[in-house]
Amino acid sequence: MSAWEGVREAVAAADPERVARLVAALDDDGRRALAEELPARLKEMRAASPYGILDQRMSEPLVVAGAGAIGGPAAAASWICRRELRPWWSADGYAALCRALTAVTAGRTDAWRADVAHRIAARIRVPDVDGMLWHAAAALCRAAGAAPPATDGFVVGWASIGARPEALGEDPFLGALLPKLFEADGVGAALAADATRARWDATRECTWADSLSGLARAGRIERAVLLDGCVSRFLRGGTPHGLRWFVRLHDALAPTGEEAAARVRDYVRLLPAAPPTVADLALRHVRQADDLGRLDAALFEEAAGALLFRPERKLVRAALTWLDRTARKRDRADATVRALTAAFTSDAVDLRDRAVKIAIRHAARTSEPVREEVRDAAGGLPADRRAAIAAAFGEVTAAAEAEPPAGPPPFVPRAAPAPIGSLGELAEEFAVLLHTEEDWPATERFVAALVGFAHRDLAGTREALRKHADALAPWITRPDEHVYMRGYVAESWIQFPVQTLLLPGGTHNLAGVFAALAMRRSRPAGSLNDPQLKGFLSWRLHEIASAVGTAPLLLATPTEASGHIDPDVLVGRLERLEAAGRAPGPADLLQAMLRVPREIDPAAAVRAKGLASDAGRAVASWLAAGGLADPVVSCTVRDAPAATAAERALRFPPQVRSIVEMPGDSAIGRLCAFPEPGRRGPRPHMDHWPAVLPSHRDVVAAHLVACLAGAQDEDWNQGGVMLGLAEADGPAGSATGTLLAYTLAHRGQDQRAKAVEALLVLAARDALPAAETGAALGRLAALGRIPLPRTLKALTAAADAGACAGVWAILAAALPHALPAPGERAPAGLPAMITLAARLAEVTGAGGPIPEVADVAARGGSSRLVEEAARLHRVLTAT
Amino acid sequence: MASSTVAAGAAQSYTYTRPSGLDSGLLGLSTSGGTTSSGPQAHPHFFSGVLTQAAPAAAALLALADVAQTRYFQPRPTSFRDPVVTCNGDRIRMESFSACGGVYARLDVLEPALDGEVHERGTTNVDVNGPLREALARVGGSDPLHLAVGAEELAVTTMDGAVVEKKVPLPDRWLRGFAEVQVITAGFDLRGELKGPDAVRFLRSLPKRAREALWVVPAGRTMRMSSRPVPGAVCLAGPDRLRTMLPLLRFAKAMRAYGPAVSNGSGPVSSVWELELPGMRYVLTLSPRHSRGFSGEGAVLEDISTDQAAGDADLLGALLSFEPRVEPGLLSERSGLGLARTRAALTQLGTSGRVGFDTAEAAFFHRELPYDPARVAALNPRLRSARALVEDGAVRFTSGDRATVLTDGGEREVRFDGDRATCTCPWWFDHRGERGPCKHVLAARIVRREAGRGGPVGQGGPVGQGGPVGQGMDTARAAGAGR
Repeated sequence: MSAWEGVREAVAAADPERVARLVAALDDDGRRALAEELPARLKEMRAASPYGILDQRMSEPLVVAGAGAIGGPAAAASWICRRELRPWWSADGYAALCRALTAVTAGRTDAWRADVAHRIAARIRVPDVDGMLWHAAAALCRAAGAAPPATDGFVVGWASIGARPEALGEDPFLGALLPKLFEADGVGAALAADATRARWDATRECTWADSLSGLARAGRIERAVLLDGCVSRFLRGGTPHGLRWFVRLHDALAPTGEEAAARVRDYVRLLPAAPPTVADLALRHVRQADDLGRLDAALFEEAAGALLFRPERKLVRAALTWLDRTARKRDRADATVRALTAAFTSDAVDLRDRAVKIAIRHAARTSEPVREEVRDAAGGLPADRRAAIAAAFGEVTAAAEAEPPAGPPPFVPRAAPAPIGSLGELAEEFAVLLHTEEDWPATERFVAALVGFAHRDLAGTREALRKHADALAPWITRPDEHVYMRGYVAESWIQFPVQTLLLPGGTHNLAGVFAALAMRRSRPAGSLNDPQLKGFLSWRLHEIASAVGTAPLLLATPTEASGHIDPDVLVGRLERLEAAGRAPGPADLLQAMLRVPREIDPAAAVRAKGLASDAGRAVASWLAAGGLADPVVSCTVRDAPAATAAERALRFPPQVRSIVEMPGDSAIGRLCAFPEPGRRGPRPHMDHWPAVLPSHRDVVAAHLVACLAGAQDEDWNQGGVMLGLAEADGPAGSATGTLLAYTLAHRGQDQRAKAVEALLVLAARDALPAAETGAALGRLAALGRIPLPRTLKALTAAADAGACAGVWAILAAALPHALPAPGERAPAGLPAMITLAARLAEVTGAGGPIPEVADVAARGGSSRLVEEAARLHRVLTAT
Repeated sequence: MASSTVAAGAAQSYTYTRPSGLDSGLLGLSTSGGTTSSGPQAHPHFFSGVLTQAAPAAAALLALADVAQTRYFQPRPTSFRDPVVTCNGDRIRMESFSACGGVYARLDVLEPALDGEVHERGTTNVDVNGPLREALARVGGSDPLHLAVGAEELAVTTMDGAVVEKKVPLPDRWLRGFAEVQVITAGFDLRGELKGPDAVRFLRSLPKRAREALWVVPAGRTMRMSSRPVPGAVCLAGPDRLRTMLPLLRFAKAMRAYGPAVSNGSGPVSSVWELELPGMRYVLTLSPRHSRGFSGEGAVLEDISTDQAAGDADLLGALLSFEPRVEPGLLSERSGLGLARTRAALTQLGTSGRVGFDTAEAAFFHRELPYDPARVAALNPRLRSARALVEDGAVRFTSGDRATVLTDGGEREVRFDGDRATCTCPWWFDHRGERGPCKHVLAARIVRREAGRGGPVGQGGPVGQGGPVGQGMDTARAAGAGR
C-alpha cells in the first residue's frame, strides 16, 4: 500500500488531525514517496471535481499532508500557499489546521518550521490578508518558538485577524510586532474601523487603541514606543483614513505636557502638511508644550506661519485663538502680531478681520519694527479695517488701488462645424456617431448630409452606410432579429433616418404621423402629455426620416452653433427647393422659421419677396415681420410642489410654476404654450431644445425648468442644456434664472462647471438674469431644496473668473429671500454666503444697504450669521 | 551593472550598499547601478554638498516619492519604484512615474539650491524608504541640510556592509510611458503663469474629486475652469492628480502650465504643471485622462522609426554627455546631420528613454534610464502588430489614398487625407487619432513608404490568417471597445 492510500481516506473524511497523525507516523521513505505523489493526486482530485474546483473540506487535510511530507522548506511553503488549496473560510478560525500543522511538523527542527513560516509570511498580501496563510505561519512560528516574521502582510494580518485586542497582554507576538505596527504599510487602513468594529462585533470586548493604552498604563508596554510610533507614522504621511487609528491611539494615550514638550519639534513639523485631523492633534500638543514654556521662538514662528497658511478654516480659527490668548502670557506680542500679518491677505474675510482685531488688541506691546511691518501689510485692507489699524499702529498708506476685476471673459460664439464633404466622410461620421452620445450639432450636421447625399446618389449612399450598419449596428438593418431595439432606433436622430434609407417601405412612419397629429391639435389645458417640444422634435425626426432620398435638402439645418440660420442661406435653400419643384416638410419649415435670428438682415427679407411657393411666401412675410414676437414668460418657485395635475396625483411633482402665454391657436403657439403640468424627469434629446427656439431662450427655459427643477441630484445633462440656453439668444428672465439657480446647485462638479460657464456667457453677453436667478436661489435655499455650500462653490468660481458684478447682483437678490425671520433657523451655509457677498461687495464697490441684511445685523448676539450680516452691512454703508 | 532585469516584464532589482537616510543633518541618498559619463557603475557618486533650501527640497522629495507610490486610476496599494536621479553637472534631476502610468513627476534642483561638489555626471536610481520619509518630514525651519548622492564615505562610515536589495515589478508599459512623456511634452508651450498667492488660491480651489477632464483658461490673475476647450486653454485631466503639489504650496513662488495648442473641438490632451520653488522646480505631467497611461498614447508612432532615424540616434547618443540642455543646433554641427534629422533623432532618443524634455527651458536633457535599454527600446506593440500586418500582406491599396486592411475582425478601410489618416476600426472610432495612429493606419503608412522608395509593395498576395496580428494589443482593445 502506498503512503497515499492510507492518507487518502483521512483526506476524504476531511480530518486534518488524522492526516497529521498518519503522516507523522510515516518513515522518511514513506514521506518522500507521499511528497512525490501529492501533486499528481491533487491534479486527479481536481479533475474529478465539478468545475475543477476542489472540495473545500479537503483543502486543509491536503495542506497538512504536504506540510508533513515535503522535505524542503521552500517546497513545503509553496505547497501550503497553493491557491487551489485555499479554503474559502473556516468554521473554527483554522484552529484544527493549526493543531494539525504543529503536530505533523513535530519531527522537524525549529529552524525548519521558522523558515517555512517566514516564507509563507512573505506571500501574504496587503490589504486582503489571507486568514489561512496567516494562521499557518503563526502556528509554525509559535511551534518553533521563533521570532515572528516582520513582513507587512504578517503584521497587518496580526492586527486585522490574528490578535485579539482584549487579550493583547498574553499575545506571544506582542513584543516583536508592536513596533512594527507603526512601520508596516496598511496597518492604519486595517485598523481604521477599530472603534466601529468593537461596537458591532460581539467577540470584541475593547478596541485596539484602548487595549494598547491600557497595557501602557499597566506598564506592560512602554508608552514611549507607542507615542513615538504614532508621531513617526504621522510624519510619514498618508490619507486621513490610513491615519485615523493612529490619531485614536494617540488620543487614548493622552500625552502629558512633558511628553508633548519632548516631541514638540515633530508636532510643529506636522502642522503645515498633515491631514486636518492630525494637524488638529498636533496643534493641541504644541499648545500643551507652549503652556509649559517649551516652545522656543523659532518653533513658535514656524507653527504660527504654518497654521495661518492652512486652507481649513477650523485650524486657522484655532490658531487665531491660540495666538490671541498667549501673546501677553508668553510675552511675545511682537512675534504674534508679525505672524498675524500673513492673514491680512486671506480670502476668508471673516478670518482676516479677526486677525486684524487681534493685532490691534496687542498693538500696545509691539516694538517699532513690527509696527512698521503691520503698517506695510495693512495697505491692501479695505478702508475701515485700514483705519482701525492706523488708529492702533500709526498712519497706513493705502496700497495702490487694486485693479478692478477684469469682468467676465468675452463671449466668442463657437463656429458651426463644417458640413460633411464626401460620402466616405459621411460613412465614417456615421460609425463614430454610433459610438458616441448624440449631441445636437453633430446630429443636425449628419442628417443634413444624409438627406443631401441620398438625394444625389441614393444607391451610393446606401452602399456606403450599409457596411457600417451591418458591422456595427445590425439592429438597424435587421430589425426583426432585434425587436427590443426598435424603440431605441426610433428615437435616434442618427439610426432612424439611416434605417429608413436602408429599409425603404417599412412602417416606421406611424409614430411620426401621431407626432404630427399631436402637434396640430390644440390640447385641453392641463393634460398630462409629454412636453410639446419633445413632440415637435419627434415629428421633425420622422419627417426627416421619410424625406431621406426624396427631399433635396433640409431647410432648417442651422448655420450657427447657437442653432440660428442665416436668413440669406434660408432664402437660398427655398429658392433651390422651388427650382426643384418641391415643398419643404411642414415641421422643417416651422423649425426653419423659428431659427431665424432676432436681427434679420433687410437684404434677405427683400430677397425673400421673390419667392413664389406657399412656403416661400410664408417665410417672406415671417422675415418681414421680424420673426416671432417674444411671448410673455413667467416662472415662480412653488412653496409646496404641486401634488396633482388634471386631477391625477403626481409622483414627481413639479417644484416650479412656469407659464408661457401665447395668444392665438397657431402651430407655433401650440409649440411654445405652457403650462404642461406633466412630471419632472428627463426627456430624450433635451439638449436639442435650446436650438429649437434659439431666439427665445426663456420660452425653452420655461419648458426645461418644469422637467429639471428639483433634479439637482440627477445627472440629466442640466449643465449642457443650460450652456445651450446661454449661447442662444433672446430675453432671459425668470425661467432662465430659475434653471440657472438649480443648475448651479447641481451635485455633479462637471454640471456645476457648465453652469458656471453658462453664467459667464450670459454675463459677458449682458443677458444675465441676476435678479431672477438670485430670487430663485434665495427662495430655494430658504425652502431647503438646494444645499448652499456647493452652490457657493460654483458662485465663487464664477466670481473668480470675472463675473464679480453678476455674482454680487445674484447674491444681493438672494439674501432678502434666504435670510431667516427672527427665531427661524438659517439654512446651512448662509453665513458663508454672506461672507462671499461681503467680499464681492468690497471688490465691486457696491453700496446701498439691503433692508433685510440690516435687520439681521441689528439683531445683536454673537452668532456667525449676525456677525457676517453686520460686516456686509458695514461694507454696504461704508461709502 | 548591478541593477538588472529579472525576466522580461517582470521585476526590477535595486542594489544599494546601505539604505538612504538622514543622520545629523546629512541626507545621504544611496545609489544603485547606473550610467555615468565615465561608463556604467554599480554605485555612482554624483554630488556632495549642501542643499541651501532644506525644507522645500525635503518636501518636494516627499512629493516625488508620493507620486511613485500612487495609483491614481483605480487606487490600491502598490510597490514603490525608486526615483531616477540624473546629475547634469549644474543641476540634479529626480524623476518618477506613478504606478498607473498617468503621472510623471520631476524635481529639478537647480544651481542656486546646490552648494557643493559634483563628482560625476550620470543617471542612477536612489533609494527611498520609510525611515527616510519620516526624516524628510522632520526637516523644517532653517535647519541646514547636507546632501550626498552616492557618496562613497557613507558606505564606509556606517552599517556592517549589509547590502539593501529591493525587487519591485517594473512593467513594460511603465518604461514605455517614461519615454512617451518626453516625446509628447516636446511640443508644449507655456499657456499660463500664476504668481505665488494666486497659484496657491488656484491649486486649492481645484475640485477634489473630479475625474473628468477640465479645461483651464488663463484669466487675469487666476485661471478659470471651463468645461470645454477653447484656444489657449490647458487640459487638466483629473485635477486630484496635482494633489502632491498641495504640501509644497507654502514654498511656491509661481505656477506655470504648459500644453499643446487646442481648438474648440479638441479632445483631452496631456499637460505639464510646474511649481516654482526656491531654487528648484517641481513638475507634474498629466496624461489626457485619469484612466489613460502614457504608454498607450502613441505619440512616438507618428514618426515611424526608420533605419535612418535609428542610425542617427545612435550617432547622437554617442555625442551626448549628460548635458543639462541639449542644443540641437550645436549637436547638428558636431554630428554633421541636418537640423531636421537631428531633431528627429532626438525624438528617437526620447522614445528609448535616453533624453528627457524640460518644458521650462524648452530643451532636451541627456539621461540614460537605469533600466535594461533593450526593454525600453523594444517595439511598441502597435507598431509590432502593424509590421505583422504588412508581412502578412494584409494591406491592399485600392487607390492612391485608400487602402483596405484585412484583419480578423473584418476589413478596415484606411483613408489618407494629406498628412491625416483615418481608419474604420472601432479603436479609431473611440479615439479618433487622439492616441496616435491605429495599427491599420501604421501598416498602410509602412506600405506606402516602402512603395514610395520603390521597394516591394504589399500587392495583394496571400492574406495571413491572424498569426501574431490577433494577439496585438489593438485587437484586444478593439474587441473590448465595441458596443
